[in-house]
Amino acid sequence: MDELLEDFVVETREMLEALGGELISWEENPGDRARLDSIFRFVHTVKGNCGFVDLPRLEALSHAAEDALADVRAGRRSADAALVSAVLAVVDRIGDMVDAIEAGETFPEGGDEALKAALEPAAAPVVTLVPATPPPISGPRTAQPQRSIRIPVELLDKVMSGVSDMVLARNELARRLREGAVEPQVHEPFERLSAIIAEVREAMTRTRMQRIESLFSGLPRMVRDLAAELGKQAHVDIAGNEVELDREMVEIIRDPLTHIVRNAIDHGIEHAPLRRLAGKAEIGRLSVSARQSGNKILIDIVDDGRGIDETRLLEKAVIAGLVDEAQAARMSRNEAFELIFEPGLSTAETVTAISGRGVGMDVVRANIERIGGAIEIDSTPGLGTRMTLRVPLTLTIIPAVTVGIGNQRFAIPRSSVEEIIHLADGTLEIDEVGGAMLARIREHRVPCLMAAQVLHVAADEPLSDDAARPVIVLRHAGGGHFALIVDQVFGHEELVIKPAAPAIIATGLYAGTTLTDDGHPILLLEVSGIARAGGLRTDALERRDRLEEAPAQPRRTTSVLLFTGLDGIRRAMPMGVLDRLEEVGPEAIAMEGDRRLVVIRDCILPLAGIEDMPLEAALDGNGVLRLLRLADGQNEIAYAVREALEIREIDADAIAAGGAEHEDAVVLVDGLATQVVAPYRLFARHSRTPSRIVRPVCRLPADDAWIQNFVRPMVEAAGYRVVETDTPDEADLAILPHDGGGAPAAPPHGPAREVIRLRTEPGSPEPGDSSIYRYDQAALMGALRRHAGRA
Amino acid sequence: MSELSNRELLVVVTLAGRRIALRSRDVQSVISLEVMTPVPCAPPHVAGLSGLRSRVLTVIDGCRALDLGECSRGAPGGAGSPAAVVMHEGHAYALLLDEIEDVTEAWNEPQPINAQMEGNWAAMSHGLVETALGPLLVADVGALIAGPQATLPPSVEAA
Repeated sequence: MDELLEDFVVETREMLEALGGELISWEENPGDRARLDSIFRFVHTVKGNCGFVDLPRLEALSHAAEDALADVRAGRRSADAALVSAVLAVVDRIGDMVDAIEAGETFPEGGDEALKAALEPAAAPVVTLVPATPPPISGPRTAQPQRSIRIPVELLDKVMSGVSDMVLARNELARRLREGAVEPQVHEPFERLSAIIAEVREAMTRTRMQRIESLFSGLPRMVRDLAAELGKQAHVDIAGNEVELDREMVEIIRDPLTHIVRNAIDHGIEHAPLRRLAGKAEIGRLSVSARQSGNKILIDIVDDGRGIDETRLLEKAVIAGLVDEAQAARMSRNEAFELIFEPGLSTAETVTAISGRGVGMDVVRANIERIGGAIEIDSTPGLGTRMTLRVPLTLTIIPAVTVGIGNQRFAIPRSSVEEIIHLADGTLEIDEVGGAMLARIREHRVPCLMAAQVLHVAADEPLSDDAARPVIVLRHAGGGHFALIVDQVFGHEELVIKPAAPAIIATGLYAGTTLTDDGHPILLLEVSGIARAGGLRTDALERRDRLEEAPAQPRRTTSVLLFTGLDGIRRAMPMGVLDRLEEVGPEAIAMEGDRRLVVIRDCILPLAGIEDMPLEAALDGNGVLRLLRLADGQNEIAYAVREALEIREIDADAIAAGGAEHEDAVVLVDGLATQVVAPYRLFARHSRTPSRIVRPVCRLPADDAWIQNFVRPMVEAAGYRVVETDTPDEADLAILPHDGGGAPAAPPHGPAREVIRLRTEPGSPEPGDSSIYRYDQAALMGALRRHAGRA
Repeated sequence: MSELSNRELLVVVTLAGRRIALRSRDVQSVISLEVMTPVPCAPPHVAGLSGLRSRVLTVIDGCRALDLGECSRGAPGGAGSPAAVVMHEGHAYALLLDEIEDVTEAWNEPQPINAQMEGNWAAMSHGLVETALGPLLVADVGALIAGPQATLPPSVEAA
């Protein structure tokens, strides 16, 4: 690619990136003159540049958009939704074409004419959307962009390290000046030199910084497209565009941020009718904001969606084998949320193209932690989810506390330091319990470590008076605290951290190295590593152990939708299966044999909840039938209701109880008896697989604890009657552990028409092996349904 | 080892009391260490950290890497000792030396040595070359830096 073309690609892409937010703002308020102007400038610039690099197709497209926008600017035409969409389509096409140019590919012919035609004014008169108010007089947006040039990062790094060398040389010179008797007139130019070096250093540091805007500007467009694709409504608020961070950091957090935002729209924000029912605005709100807090940048991604269903999350974790049921029952909320970051766990009800299946949050966390950041999650069912990314301001300069341990100096990242206390202060007591030290700081008791012991260093002259020693209270990566006794605290410094050699990192005790101003190397301690080396448990380890020791936790809850059935009975539907609310007229109801079906747009769904009631009685005063649309990941059914009431949290065990023989479980909600619908039975009865009067029989080995504990509930939920291995009953289906190797012999323990074998290894089985991976819930459910239909 | 041409330049040094050669392209510069900061809990062959202008050097004790025990040093702690500055996989190292003697040319490519050598020399050298100063063992700087745990089987490099 020649240089001119390369510049064109880079420039166009930069403009596109900056334009992302403007497009959406313009769409929301087409009368916004400032936004219109900046979009006009974009297509105008692209058109102009195309002339230089000979790209006639791109030129024609941008020209068409420019013409349309010029008409709007001149007041000959108003900006309506159709025009906005058409312009957006052109801008997208420009982006695609630029991608193709960069990749050296030929962009597929055709399609341009349709795009251009869409820009033409519609035949029908368009309602004017331009308000009568005059355009805003001026705004920061209209400011001229700063002039800039492109330089390779290596060059920048070279200059940066040159500046660092300069600082050290200056310090050395300062020392010599102090020692030797130098003529006074040398001092003044030296001071000037020092000031200049400090200024250059500061400026060089800033060259690495970039406004976070470049990361945020693409979000409004992404949210808009994603929400549209999912049939949802969402709006994103952006704050903190002006926050600056290391440009390398910007690139590292781009993917994690995108993933979290996508998740929020896909899984967080509900469809409009559900939102209305929950008493929320129909348009979901997502807020993405950045702010600086000390040496960290905090990025908050907050949605007002459905929140994380802790119960469902735990169920999935059990099925995925991450925790066992006993552990799950004892988990606190925060511990449950932490499971989201475990590999292979997705809270998605159904796998979508948007968020994928359980590949993501673990990678997101790994990426953030790789750069010394952290990710926090908080969620309130029904109200929304907040994710907070904490990332260091820069990869290279961190504020640190320098301490003396033995007769050596070390640095501790300021971000890990909670407080520094002196033993003599009286706010702190240290007790020895069974050979371990515990520090009591006010009313908290935390483990206490002697730094010199952890590092195996000894001072030449040990301090005789322990009372003079400072104690640093530190927070490790797992969130817990511990106290570290050091020999001396020197002070706070901004340190330029350099990566340490692999052999040093391998000790697990150090995060990097740095040089003091006089050229002495200092090691930066890795706080979590120190905690581990001192025998303290951090993060995952600590969680596991706490789970085993912890007493029973308070009850778990799950969200349900309260509604009144057509029969007037108050019921609760687990939110996990609720997809959305629908309203249909009587014409949408059809009969298939003796079953009722409902047509919703292009879907035909079995209709439940209506039983034998005459249709007229089911309609409300306006002749409308209200439906809950339910999905279990495989099938969809519609459930007719009189009135949807509200979303509530109820005891999770009530749902489990509902899986029993015939009756729905009844719980008290606000003092009123409420029947909890058992969704599995509902699906088993109403799914479009032929309904059956006789329940299918499934044979399960009585001595296989895993099958009894995990598979049996699913089998029963799918409508089977379970028989034990030693009963002579004829069974429709048997489920057995896969013993591996050749063709499975006939089940030795009683007749069954079909056999499902569960294997312990994931991945695709050998040809001819029809076994199912035992954690593949979807495949197992599918097989259960299939066999139930066939039997 | 085709890249090791007949005219390969060598730095002749004394390490662990023996005269050996380092390939000059491995060596960035030869310095006298000014400061030395120990690294607690580091593997024994990591003698500590030193500074070279704004760079931090990880100091490698060749005697320890070779498992030949403690070497004689200039000053206590290693400061003042001669060292070769080596870049390896993006990190800067200083390889502690007893003495720096000369620069010479290798006359041939390193040849494998079919004799029992002391310590880890078999795994931490490229082989033997003939020079104007007599036969010299060419040290494998990467293996010295990696230390005793990660040594390659002998002859892999020399083959």
